[in-house]
Amino acid sequence: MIITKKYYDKLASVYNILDAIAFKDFHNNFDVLKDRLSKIKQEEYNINDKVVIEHFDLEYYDKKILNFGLFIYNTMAIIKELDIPYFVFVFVTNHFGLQQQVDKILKNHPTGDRPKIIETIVNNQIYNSNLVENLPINAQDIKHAGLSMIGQPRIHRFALYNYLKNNNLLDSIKISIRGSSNRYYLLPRI
Amino acid sequence: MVILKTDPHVNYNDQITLKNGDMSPLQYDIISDDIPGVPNQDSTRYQADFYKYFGLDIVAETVFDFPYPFITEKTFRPITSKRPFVIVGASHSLALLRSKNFKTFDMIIDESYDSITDYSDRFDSVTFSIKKFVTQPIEKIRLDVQSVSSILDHNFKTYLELEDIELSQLNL
Repeated sequence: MIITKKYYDKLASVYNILDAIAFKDFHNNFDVLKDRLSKIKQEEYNINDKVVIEHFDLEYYDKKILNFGLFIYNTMAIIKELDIPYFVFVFVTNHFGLQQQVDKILKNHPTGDRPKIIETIVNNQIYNSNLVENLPINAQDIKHAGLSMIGQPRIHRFALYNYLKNNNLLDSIKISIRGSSNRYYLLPRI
Repeated sequence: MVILKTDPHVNYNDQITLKNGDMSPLQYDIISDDIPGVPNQDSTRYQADFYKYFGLDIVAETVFDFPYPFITEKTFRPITSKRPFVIVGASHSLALLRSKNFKTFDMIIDESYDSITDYSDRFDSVTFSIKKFVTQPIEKIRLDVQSVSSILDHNFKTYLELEDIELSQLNL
């Protein structure tokens, strides 16, 4: 689960959770999602019956093709195909705009039947308050103007590196960056 | 509604073209001597002790041309390590942090880049802010960091409370 235990417990205190599914469980293979959702299909749902979908990280936007995310669109299409009411679904997401996207996708669908969208920057992949300690701030320790842990190769990160290099800033800014020969560059990314 | 099929190897969001940027790929890894070459593990993923030697963290977030603000552990790291930061990422990322009770650093850093939605213009703006800050004398940078120490402490405390803050705002 990507959502934290506290988040899940909060949801479970209010809802009868039928299933909890993460996008990463079916990355870009919507047959897997369809199969999973078909197993929780019922004739009727109570208002508190919910399927939690963890919509973290994985999403593809291309303004030339769609004005909403590809994966959320496909998920909505599968739910419609299976004839499950949208109100059964709770999307927990780190995409702060998913609500507007869903409204665009469902613009011709009755407004009374909408999924619940929870936007959060807290999840198990990026947040852990138990693993940090209260460090002192001692500005006299500062030796260099800045650092950038640029990380895995992406175009905007190369542009940042090139900017720092071409402006002779690499003496004052220390960096860490992966080159394009790194295997991660070849994988599909968010 | 029909399922849209695409080649997963074209499903990524960083196919950008900058007006003024050099997007040439770097072929090889670079790690400056002053940065410990440790893997991204729990001890450094959330907080890094070596941040104390640096005045500003330039956060190269996961995405740049993106329709919504997007925050990851890369942004949380300077917060937990108590250093000011700029975000080379989606627009309105600083605004999102402020909506979660964090404070940012417009008293020492030009943060006007955050509201620029055109990604190419935002790149020009954020790099200008970076250059302006890091080309100051190191003693001035130390004074700047010291001057925002109450914000750094506030942000660390907010990080610890963040989950409870969000849960208290939930309307289920």
